[in-house]
Amino acid sequence: MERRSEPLDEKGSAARVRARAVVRLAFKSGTLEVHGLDEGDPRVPSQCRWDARSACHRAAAQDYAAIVMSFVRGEVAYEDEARAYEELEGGLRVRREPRPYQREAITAWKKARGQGLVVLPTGAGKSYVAMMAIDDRRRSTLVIAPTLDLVRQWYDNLRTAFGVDVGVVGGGEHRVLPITVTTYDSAYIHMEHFGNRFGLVVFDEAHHLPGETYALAAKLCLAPFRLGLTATPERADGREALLEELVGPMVYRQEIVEMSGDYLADYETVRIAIDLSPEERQRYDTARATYRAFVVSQGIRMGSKTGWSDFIMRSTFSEEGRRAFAAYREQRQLAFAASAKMETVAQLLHDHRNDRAILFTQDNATAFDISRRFLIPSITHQTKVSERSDILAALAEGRIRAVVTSKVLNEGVDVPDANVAVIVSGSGSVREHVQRLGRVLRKKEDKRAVLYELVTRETSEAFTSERRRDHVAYR
Amino acid sequence: MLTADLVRVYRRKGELKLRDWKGDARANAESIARRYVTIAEAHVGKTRGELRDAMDDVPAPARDRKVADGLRKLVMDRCEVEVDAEHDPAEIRQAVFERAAELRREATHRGAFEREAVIAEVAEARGLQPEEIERLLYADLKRNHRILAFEAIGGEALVDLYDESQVQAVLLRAEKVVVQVAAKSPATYRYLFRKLKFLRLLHTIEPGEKGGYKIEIDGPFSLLSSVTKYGLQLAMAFPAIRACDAWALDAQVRWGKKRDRVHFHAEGERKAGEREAALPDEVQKLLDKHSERFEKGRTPWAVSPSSEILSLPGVGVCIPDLVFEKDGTKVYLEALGYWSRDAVWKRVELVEAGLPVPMVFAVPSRLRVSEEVLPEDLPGALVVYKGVIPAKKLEEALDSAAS
Repeated sequence: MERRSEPLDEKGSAARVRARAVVRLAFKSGTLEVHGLDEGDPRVPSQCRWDARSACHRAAAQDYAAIVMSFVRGEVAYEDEARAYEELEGGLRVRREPRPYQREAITAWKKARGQGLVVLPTGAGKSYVAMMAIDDRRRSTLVIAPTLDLVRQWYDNLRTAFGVDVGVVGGGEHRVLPITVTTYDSAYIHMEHFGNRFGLVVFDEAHHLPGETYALAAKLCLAPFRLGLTATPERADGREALLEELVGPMVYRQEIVEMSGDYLADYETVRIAIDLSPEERQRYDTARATYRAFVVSQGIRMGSKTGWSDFIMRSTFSEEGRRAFAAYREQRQLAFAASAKMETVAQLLHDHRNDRAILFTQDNATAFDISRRFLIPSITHQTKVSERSDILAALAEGRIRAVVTSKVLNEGVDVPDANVAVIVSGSGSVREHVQRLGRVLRKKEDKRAVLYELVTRETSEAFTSERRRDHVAYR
Repeated sequence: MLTADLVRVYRRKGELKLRDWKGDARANAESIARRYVTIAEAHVGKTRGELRDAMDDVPAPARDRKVADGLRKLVMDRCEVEVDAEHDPAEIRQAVFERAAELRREATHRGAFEREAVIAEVAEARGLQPEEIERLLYADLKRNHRILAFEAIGGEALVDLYDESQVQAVLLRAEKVVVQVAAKSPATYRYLFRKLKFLRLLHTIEPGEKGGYKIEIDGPFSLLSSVTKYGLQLAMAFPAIRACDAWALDAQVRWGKKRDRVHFHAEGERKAGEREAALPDEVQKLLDKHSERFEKGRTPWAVSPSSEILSLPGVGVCIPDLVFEKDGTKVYLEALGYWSRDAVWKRVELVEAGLPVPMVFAVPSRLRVSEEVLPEDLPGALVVYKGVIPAKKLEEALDSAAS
């Protein structure tokens, strides 16, 4: 065999020889390959299946911990080429006394062997629970959040807390470091490449995870430690049961009402009814009549599950349908941005000119309209990460006093100084509304927060508002 | 690429089908395409929003709406855009909004805050007109992006592109794809397999019922459960499938709001006039030279281009360039002229793992590989050469591989 000395120097051939000697675990595109065991070998862990395409056994990366345990129990010698995560060099740089419920949450999570879901209301300091988990395990960590705003916020918080550079994947950036933050969208796309580089994954706003695509991100990742954080685990589609499979069992839960006053700012809600002008009222009634007539003539029940999609579909088939759709949009736009509503916005901006206010709209067009009209910054999906940070910093420093946003700021973005929220227009989703409340609920020196809701009287928006208030947070 | 809502499909009994162009539908589409292209060419230097509005004005009857929207998307994709570089809108916004906050705080009553005064003040400080500030305030929004260039295309070609993009849009939702492909040139197959490898897809191969090959394509995780995770890769592999002389594709697709599992079929042939994938130069020279020798009776080995794929699951595929035949014995040859040194070790591994046929690999000396790396007792041989492959040396290797 000495004539083969040359290729043996090559990396590939050396690995080949070794591969035949022992059982070998490798990470491949979000799956685990187990090499060195023949089909039917009793030592093959139950999670694995034979893959004839590549002549090896294969399992989901998520089963990594179980497979390793199975080898250890069965005393099977193996080489681990799959795991590529590190131990972190240092822990938390700034430690503060955790609140009792944060301590209880982390204890429960540790007891569940570092796999589980923690449910705490918005503003209760969920991210500090995650910091404690990272500090406890000291493994390379990936934090997954639903929006770029939250990514930016985690980035700032983690850098401060651990005093190390933090990686970001998403929003045009791609830098993977021992502590990295990403979005659910990016995690779904990239987990097959870096799913072996983290020992702990934190799923922020974990109620997003059970969607069919996002769930795959959890499966393509081998992290043995997993922490899910959310205020509202329940989903409209009932898939929350899947959270246990993807993250772990619910290990801790606290509801909003148990905490208000203690750790969250007191808040009051003010509902302002807006009247349409006579001219707007006439346009509204005409548009609504056109839209309703079409819906009735087509036998569409808008309240039913398929009502909305039926309407969309049928409205594209005829001139009459397209007119009905235009009328639908017009009456909606009138209710959302009635002239009197804009007057009220002007008044509230003046009244709270020394406060910190966040205005919420249903769509980007209304957000841009308000931004131009009142000369306050807007934050939408098109706002770059750096400008978004600048705007929030200016708000914190008081250089600006109000920001208008569409759905972007909905979830958990920390604007600690904000004490006024104005819902200019919004949808009926209960969760969305609770998240919006959370923005002004953060505890800060006897701060009393106000939440205004502007509702156009005698329009469909009034009904939406009723639905929105159907939650324990509205007492 | 198109999105699912821009595809003209219908469902029947679990089948997802692309709509045929009926009557004058294709001619109409081409006419709309030509108008869009003309408009796009005229909008270089203007904004995306202006291009969009101008295309909105092209009348398209309701039944052609989807095609029109799809063509618009493809036209938009061919535009290269840039944000207004002269002024930084973000910086102007910051100045306007911060000054507005200051003045609003100073206002004793609501009416004391004047929007126009803020704009005028910021404009003056920059030597600009108030209207310019109004325009620049959100000049960086997507619809305000300026078009720098438009990649030229004809109306007919744009509709062809729409057809190809439709299949790709369906494949974005595919869980797995089975293709039947046939190609005369090994270069075509090689392009396909290189593409699959690059996209990190896995495959199984078997001979096709009507010649050629049947290749099942999906990703590693597909073994554990059916996922659409590899849809983008499958869509990106489609141009390589379409490059085959003849192809038919069957896909399992998750379609519609409920993501129902449906079957999708598409097929086609390389169009006349499209260039056939050529043999590499060195292989063509070898083929010509050796054919001549055979005709003149100087060698007993007949030679022809090979169109076979030799596959060893778990180890790899080997696509020979030429096949030599003597007394019913076939020996295949692959020229590794453009490959790396690693490729040679990969071939050695294939032969060791048990390639089902005798093989000769022609390796240029620049790869610094010795002929002895392939053990003599295996059904294969390496020919290391400099410049051109010597005829005599090749024949020795063929005999050695065949024995």
